[in-house]
Amino acid sequence: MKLTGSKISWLGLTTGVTLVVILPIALILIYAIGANSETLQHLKDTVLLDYVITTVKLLFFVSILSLIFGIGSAFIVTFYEFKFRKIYSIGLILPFVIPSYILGFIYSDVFGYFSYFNIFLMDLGIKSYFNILNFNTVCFVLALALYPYIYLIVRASFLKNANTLLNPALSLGMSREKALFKVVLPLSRVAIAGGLALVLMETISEYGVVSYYGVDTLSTAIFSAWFGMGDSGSAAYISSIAMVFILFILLLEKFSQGKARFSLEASSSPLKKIKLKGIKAFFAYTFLSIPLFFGFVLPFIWILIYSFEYASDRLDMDFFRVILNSFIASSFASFVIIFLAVILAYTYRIVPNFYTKYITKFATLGYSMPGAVIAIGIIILFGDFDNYLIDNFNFEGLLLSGTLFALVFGYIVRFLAVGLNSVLASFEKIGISINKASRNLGQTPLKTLLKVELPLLKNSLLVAYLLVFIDTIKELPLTLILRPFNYETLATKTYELAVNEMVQESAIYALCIVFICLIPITFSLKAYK
Amino acid sequence: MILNLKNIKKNFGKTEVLKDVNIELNEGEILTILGASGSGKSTILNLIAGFEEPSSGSISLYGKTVSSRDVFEEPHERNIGFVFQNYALFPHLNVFKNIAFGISKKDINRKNAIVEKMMKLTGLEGLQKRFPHELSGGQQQRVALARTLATSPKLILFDEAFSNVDAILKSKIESELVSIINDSGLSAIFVTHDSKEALSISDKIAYIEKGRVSQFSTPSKIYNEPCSKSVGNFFGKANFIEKDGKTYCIRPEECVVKDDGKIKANIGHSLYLGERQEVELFFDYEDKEYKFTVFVDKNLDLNDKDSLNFDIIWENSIHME
Repeated sequence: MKLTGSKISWLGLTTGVTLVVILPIALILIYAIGANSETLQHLKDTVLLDYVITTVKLLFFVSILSLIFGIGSAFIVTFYEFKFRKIYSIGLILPFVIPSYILGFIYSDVFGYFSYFNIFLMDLGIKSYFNILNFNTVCFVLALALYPYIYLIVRASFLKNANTLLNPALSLGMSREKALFKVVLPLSRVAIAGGLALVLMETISEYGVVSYYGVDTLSTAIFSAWFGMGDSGSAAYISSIAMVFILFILLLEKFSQGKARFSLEASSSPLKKIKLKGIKAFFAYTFLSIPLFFGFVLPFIWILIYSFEYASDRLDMDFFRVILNSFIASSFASFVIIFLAVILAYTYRIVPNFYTKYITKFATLGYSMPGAVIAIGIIILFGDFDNYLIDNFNFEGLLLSGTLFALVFGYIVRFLAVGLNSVLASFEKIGISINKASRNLGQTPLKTLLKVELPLLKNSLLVAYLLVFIDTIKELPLTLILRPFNYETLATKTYELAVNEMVQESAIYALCIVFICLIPITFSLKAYK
Repeated sequence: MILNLKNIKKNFGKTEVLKDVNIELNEGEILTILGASGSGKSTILNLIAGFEEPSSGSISLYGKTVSSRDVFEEPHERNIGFVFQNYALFPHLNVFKNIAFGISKKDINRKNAIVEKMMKLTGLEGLQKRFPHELSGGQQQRVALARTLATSPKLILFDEAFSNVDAILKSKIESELVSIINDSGLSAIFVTHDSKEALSISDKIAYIEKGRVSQFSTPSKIYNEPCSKSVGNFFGKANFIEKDGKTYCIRPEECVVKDDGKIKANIGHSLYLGERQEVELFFDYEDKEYKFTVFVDKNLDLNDKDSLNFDIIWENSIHME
C-alpha cells in the first residue's frame, strides 16, 4: 500500500495510541519473567497455589449460578406469558446498577452476625451462628451482580433465533418444547459463551467482595503483594497468572465464535408465547423473583433506607468533595477515551486493512484485564519513568506516580474498549458512502471527519461517553491502587466505609453510584420496548 | 483520452477480484460497465475514484497518472464525480448545503450562483431548504447529481445509481441524465447489472467476466456479435448453432417461423408474453441436436401442433471468434 500524507498521520496516531495503552500490560509480562524475590519464593512455597485453586473454584461456581439465573430467566420471559412478564423482563436487568462490592457489603449487613435477621433467628432459639462471611455467599453475590450479562445477550439471541426459526421448526412437525431445545437453545450457544466470558472476566477482576469476605483469590493476592509487601515483581508475577486465565477465557470465547456484547436488541415481530398457569406459573414467579429480589429489590431498599437515615450525618463537604473527585477523574478519562476511540475508529474507517483491524483489537486488550493488573502495570511504568527522571535529571519527587494522571491513564487503558466498540458501531451505522462522498467532493479525511461525520455522530458519541463514564465510576480495584493519596471517589469511599465497619454510612455513596448507573438503563428502555 | 486503465489487478486478501482490466475512455463518451453481481464492477469505480488502490497496474486521468506503482492520488485530489447507489446525501445538511458542499470557492456570490444553476439544471427549484429525508427518491437522486455536477468534474461515475428508483421514473431520469451529460460535454461511467439500461444509454459497453473485460465495444456490436455465450445470454435470449465448423449466435428475432421454412422443429414449452409468444424448439442441424428459443405471433395457436418450420436469417447472424 502506498501511504499518502494524510493516511500516514492517521496510522501513526493510531499506532502510537495503541503502543502507549498496551505498554503497562507488556511491562507486567517483562517484570513477571524477571521476578525472583524472596517474597515471591515465599508466596510460591506457601499460598500461591491456594489462591489459584480458590480462583478456579470461584470461577466455576459463579459460572454455574449465573448461567442458571441468566439462561433460565431469559428463557422464561421470552417464551412464556404471565402476569407482570414485562416488568420482570425489564427488572431482571436492574441488578446491573448495583456493583458487586456494594451488594456484598449489603449482604454482610443484612444477614451478618449483628443483623436483625440473625438476632431474630437467635430470638427464635436458633442458637447456631448463621455465618455468611464465606465462599458460598461470595459466589451467590457475584452471580447476582453478573448474571445480567448472560441474561441480556442470551435473551436477544433467543428473540432473534426464535423469530426466524421457531415457526419453520414447528411447521416441520416439531413440538414447541422440542423446537426450543433442539433449535433455539443450540443456536444461542455463541451468545451464551459471549455472556459467560464477560462474567468470568469480571469475576477474575473482582476485588471488593472477595477481600471483604476474606476469600483469597489472585486479585486479592496482587493487592497484598503490592500494598502488604511493596513488591512489584511479585505483583507482576501474580498478575501474569491472572492474564493466563484471561487468555484462556478469550480463547474459549473465540472458539465459540462469539462477539456479542451488552446490547438491548428488540424484536420487531411478536413471538407467540405460551400462557403459564397453576404450578408452572408459581414456579416461574419463584424462579424469576430470586435474582430480581436479591439482586435488586432488597439491596436497593436497603440503600434507600440507610441513605435517608444517615443523610444528615453524611451530607457534608466531604460528601461533595468525593462526588467532585469522581466526576473530575471520570469525566476527564471518558473525554480522552472517546477522543482516542474516534481516532482509532476513524483510522480503521479510512484504511480498513489487516494492520488497522488488529492494531485496534490490541488497543482493547485492557478491557479483559483485571483492574488490579492494569494498575500494577501502570505503577511499574510510571515508577520506572520517575526513577529515570530522578537518576538522570536530578528531578526531585515523583512526577507521574500517585497523580490524578496515573488514575486517568488507568481508566483509559481499561475502558478504551468500551468507547471504541460503541464508536466503531456508530460509524458503521452511518455507512461508509457518506465518507466517500465527502472525500470525492474534495474534502480531506480530517475535514470529512469534522464537517460530516462528527456532526452526525454527536448523539452516539454522547451515549458512548456515558457508558465509559459509568464504568469508570464503578471501577474499584484500579482506583484503589492508582488514586492520589487521600483522593476519595464514590467507589473507594463506599469501600473504605464498609471495611471500616461503617457499612450503613456508605449507603449514600452507593446510592449515588446506583443513580448514575441507572441513566443508560432508562435510555435503553425506549429501545427495549 | 480522459481515462486509461492499464493492466489493473485487484486482490482482496486471497481473492483475485480483478485479474487484468484495460479500459480507455474518450472525452464526451458514456461507458457502461456490466457484469453479474460479484464480478468486480463496483471495484473498478472505487479504483478510479481512489477509494481503493489497485494491486498492480496504472490509472491515468486527464492524461496524468493518478495511481501506479509509485503514485497515488487521494480521492479528494482527483476531481471525479461519483453518484452513489444510496446517493449518500449528508443527512444533517439541507439541499442547498449538500449541493454547495464540494464548491471550494470562497466567493459566496459565485457559490450561490453555481448552486442556483445546478438546481435549475436538475429541476430542484424551490427545494433548497429541504433536508434529504424530506425528499422523494427521485429528488434525492437529483440532489446527488447536482452536488456532483457543482464541482465541475469532467468525468462522473455512477454506481448502480438507478437501482433504487422505480421503473417508470427510471427511464425518465435516464434520458434526462443522458441529455445533461451530453449537453455539458461530460464523460460518464455507469455501473449496472441491467442490460437494457446499458444498451440504451451507452456509447461503449465493457462486459466484465472472471475479473477481465471480456468484451469492450458499442451496444449494437455487443448485442449482435457477442464474443462468448455468456455475453450473448446476458443481453436477452440467445441461441448458438454450429455451421461449417463455426459457432453462430442467433437472436430469437433472426428466426422466422413460416410454413415453408427449411428447418423442421418439435415444439417444447411455450410462454405467452402478451405482445408475442416465446417457444422452445428442438431440431437437428448438420447431425447435431439443438434447442432454440424463438418468438412467434401472439395469435398462433400452438395447442394442436407438435412441430413447425422456420428459417434462420444467416446474413444478420455473425459467427463468434
